[in-house]
Formats: sequence, C-alpha cells, structure tokens
Amino acid sequence: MRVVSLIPALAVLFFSASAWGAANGFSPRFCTPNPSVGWVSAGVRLLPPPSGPGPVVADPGRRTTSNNDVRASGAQALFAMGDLSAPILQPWRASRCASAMSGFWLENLPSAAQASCWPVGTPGFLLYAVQPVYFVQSPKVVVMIWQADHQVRHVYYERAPSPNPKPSWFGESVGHYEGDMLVVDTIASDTRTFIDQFETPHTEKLHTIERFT
Amino acid sequence: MTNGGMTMEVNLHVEDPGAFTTPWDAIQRYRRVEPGVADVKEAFNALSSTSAAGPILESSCAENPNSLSAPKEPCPFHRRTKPRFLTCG
Repeated sequence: MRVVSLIPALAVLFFSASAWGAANGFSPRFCTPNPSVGWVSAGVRLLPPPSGPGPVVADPGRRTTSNNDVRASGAQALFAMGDLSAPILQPWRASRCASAMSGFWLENLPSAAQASCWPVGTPGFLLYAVQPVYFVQSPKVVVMIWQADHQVRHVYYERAPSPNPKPSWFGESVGHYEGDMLVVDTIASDTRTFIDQFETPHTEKLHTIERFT
Repeated sequence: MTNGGMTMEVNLHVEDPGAFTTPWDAIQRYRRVEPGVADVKEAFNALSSTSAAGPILESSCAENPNSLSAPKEPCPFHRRTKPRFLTCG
C-alpha cells in the first residue's frame, strides 16, 4: 500500500469545496479545514434507537470468538449471525437469511460480499470500520470515500429524485442541509447489496434516510 | 457533530415493506481521525491502514477469502490448483 499520487489534486478539491462551503455557510463540514480529516465508524453493527423498532441484532444464542481470540489462540473463527427472530423481518426474508447462513456449514458460501469486492451498498456503507471514510463536499455533490476498497458514494444536493431511477450499487442519493445536519434520502438500491453485515437482504423498494450530524 | 467535532452521529431510518414488517431506525457513530489532532494510537492489523489518521491511502480490493468482518477464512475457500486461463502448447 502506498500513498496515492492524487493527493495534491484531492487537496485542491477539498480546499476549494471547503472555501465554497464556508462562503455558503453549509454545515456540517466533514472535511474542513484539513483535507486529511477522515471518519472511522465505531463498529460493524447498527445500534438500536432509544425507542421503537430497531435493526437486526446478533443472534444471542450463538457463541462467537473475537478477532483477538483468533489471533491469540488460533481458535476457530465463530462469527456473529443475525437473529432470525427479529420482529422487523418479513417471514420469507428470515427464511432467506436462514438459507444463506446455512451455507456456512454446507461450505457453499465462499465468503462475505465485501470480500468478493462487491460494493457494500446503502446503508451497509455505514458499517465498514477500521479504515476511514473521507468526505468531499462540493457545490453540487458530497462524495464519500471508504478508504479500504475505495468504495465511493455520491450524494447530490437539492435535486428531486428521478422518476424511474435505475438500480445501482449505492442507489440514488439526494441530500440537503437542515441546520447542522446533512440529510440523505436514498432509493433504487441494487438488491445484490445488504442492509448490514449479517447480510440482511432488502427489496427494490428499499428507502433509507440518513441524518449525518 | 459532538465532542468538540470529534464525533459524528448518523441516524438511519429504513423502510422496505417487502423485506420488513415495519419501518425501523438505527444509529451509527464515527470518530474523527486527523494527523496531529485525532491520531489513532491503537495497533492495527494487516487488514487495516497503518496510518488511519490521513492522508487518504491507495487500497485496491482484490477478491480473497478474508474480509474485515471475517479475518481468518470463515469457511473453506475453494482454490483452483490450475490456472483458469488456457495455455498454449
């Protein structure tokens, strides 16, 4: 791994975007004043809300081993799987999850989608940790770059959603600012992507709203 | 942002009547990394950047049996013993 040669160009882009942002007063500014500012997600699981329906969580009945356990002892890696009794799952979706998970034991599921270089989609993008996400904020678009695989999302400002958007890996994202919050509305996510790292599936009707603050 | 600009929070709302019985919400948090301001002090493993606190590094994705969530071959990976391409002669 080496430092990419495009850093000077990126720095110019960051600083010009920052200058535009400062002049136009948008907030929050994820990349100013330093173009090297990155953001590392706190973990690989979505956290539940203070109240109301929340995401699929890890199956509490399944024993797991941490990365450190595996490194220290060579123990068999046991990874968390989603709780198929999660009340938010439609029954047929839970069934598909169960089928996918059984693949681990049948040895016919080679590895996680991300390990096969598939784009992680929306909102899966939020869950890829360890390496930072960089933001480029320009007058018309926010670009989010997850360093690990150089996976890139685009969020377009103040633009109405397309009437019939073509499904894509990260969907069609439009954004706007509400005070110090960036609100991102996404539709048309490709069904080859997943909601989370339990590989919870979704349909072509997936609609997400993310509020970055 | 909170904690003096060191923490960012994302509040997620999800709707998909084909997959979920009800709309639901979730939270994700991020911490800032920035050289000289918010350096990362933890030891990193081989799958991670050695300088997470910027600048952005080159990192290409190569298909492999590892992932960030499954670092040590979660299940037997089918490897070819012969190249997939045809050879001449």
